[in-house]
Amino acid sequence: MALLGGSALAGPWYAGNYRNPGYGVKADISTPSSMPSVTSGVVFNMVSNYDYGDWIQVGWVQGDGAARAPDGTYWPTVPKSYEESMVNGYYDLYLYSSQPLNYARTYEVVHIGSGTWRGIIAGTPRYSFGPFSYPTLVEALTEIAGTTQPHTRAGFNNVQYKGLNSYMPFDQNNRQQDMPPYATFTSNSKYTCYNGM
Amino acid sequence: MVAVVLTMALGSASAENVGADAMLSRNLETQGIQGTSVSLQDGSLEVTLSSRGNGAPEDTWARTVAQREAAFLATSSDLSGAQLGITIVDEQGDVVYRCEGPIEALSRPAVKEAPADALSSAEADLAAQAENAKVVLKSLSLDADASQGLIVDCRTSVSASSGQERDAQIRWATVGLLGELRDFCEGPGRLDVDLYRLRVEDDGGNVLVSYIADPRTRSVRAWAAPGVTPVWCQGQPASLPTDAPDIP
Repeated sequence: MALLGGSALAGPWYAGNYRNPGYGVKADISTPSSMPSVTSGVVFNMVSNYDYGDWIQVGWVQGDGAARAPDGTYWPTVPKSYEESMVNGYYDLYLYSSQPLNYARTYEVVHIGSGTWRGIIAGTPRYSFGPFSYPTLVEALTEIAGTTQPHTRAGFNNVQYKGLNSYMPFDQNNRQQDMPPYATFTSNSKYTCYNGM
Repeated sequence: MVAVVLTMALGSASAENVGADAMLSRNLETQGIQGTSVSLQDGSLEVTLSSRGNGAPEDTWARTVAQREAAFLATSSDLSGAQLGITIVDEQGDVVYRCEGPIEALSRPAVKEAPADALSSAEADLAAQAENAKVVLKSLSLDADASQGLIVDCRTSVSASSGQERDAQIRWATVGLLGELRDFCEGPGRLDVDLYRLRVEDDGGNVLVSYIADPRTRSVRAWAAPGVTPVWCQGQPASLPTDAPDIP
């Protein structure tokens, strides 16, 4: 099914793990060695907080060239970093540079005080948003939407949550795979999410 | 009345930076962002704005202008390493929104003219598409703003009061309509549009969604009324799955 601008959305479907609660989450999220085939729909590989429907997330996204991104263009057909936030009805989206194949970037969202959480991509602070609760549920997930077609393979390595003062590996088994997407877990803090490749 | 507080943490309090706060204040005021006050505290520039009424829908425009004006200033002022922050406070004084981040220099759009009837050939087609989506295209205009450039301004209304039908209508009236507008404006004989400004209302004229897309920065700022699902975005995170299988 081609996902057109005004059509109803199917999904989303998820794979990955959660930690509840945390003051931050970060993970090295890799792209596969060959270009994923995305012919229908869109896939996100991201870390995020989740505050009762509000969130800030960063990660990489790839679309089919037909699904519209919120800016009215099409989701990029190659993996590209992004930051997105929704809080109290206020929404923001920023699209950044492409993420090369077979390459990992560290994605992080972290509470920086007074309910404000910051998105950090490859060590570079991006935008911060709030007010959210703190701590919140935090997660490192693959999400596919539109259809179950989007192929993807993302390594989630060094998946960590932040306690009051420091980062620690994800230590809870809240693992999810909606099949698709699928996940192979080495541990709670190291796994690969995939679909079709 | 909703107060909008803009903060800009400066890399240094140089003379150029001190001048930047006054310039930003002046620029916001001249663009009708009312109730502006600006102060520089500990290297952080604080600008307080008041909405022009109707609460949060107006904030989308105010914060868009504030962020763009800071970016414009960065092309001529020493704002290297500076951070920009926007805080919106409701009438009780509670913070309802905060954003802070880097100021990335952006050149101010050249002064342009809005070609007469530039959108007229698209309007009938868009109205028909809107009708198919059970959305009413209430107005569509191309405005030449002296400060922000060429702006496509579009108002629509949806008929469904709730549920999936309203979600589908709002989705078309935001990302769907925006896509059609961009295809038209950026196609052959392209218009050099600087901002797309959409407003979705209910049958009673209440604003459900205020939505602004900036094609140069590939950014979107929006506001949704309470109870309105942000159906334009797909990358929504998940709540903790209560029925998730215990995967070894």
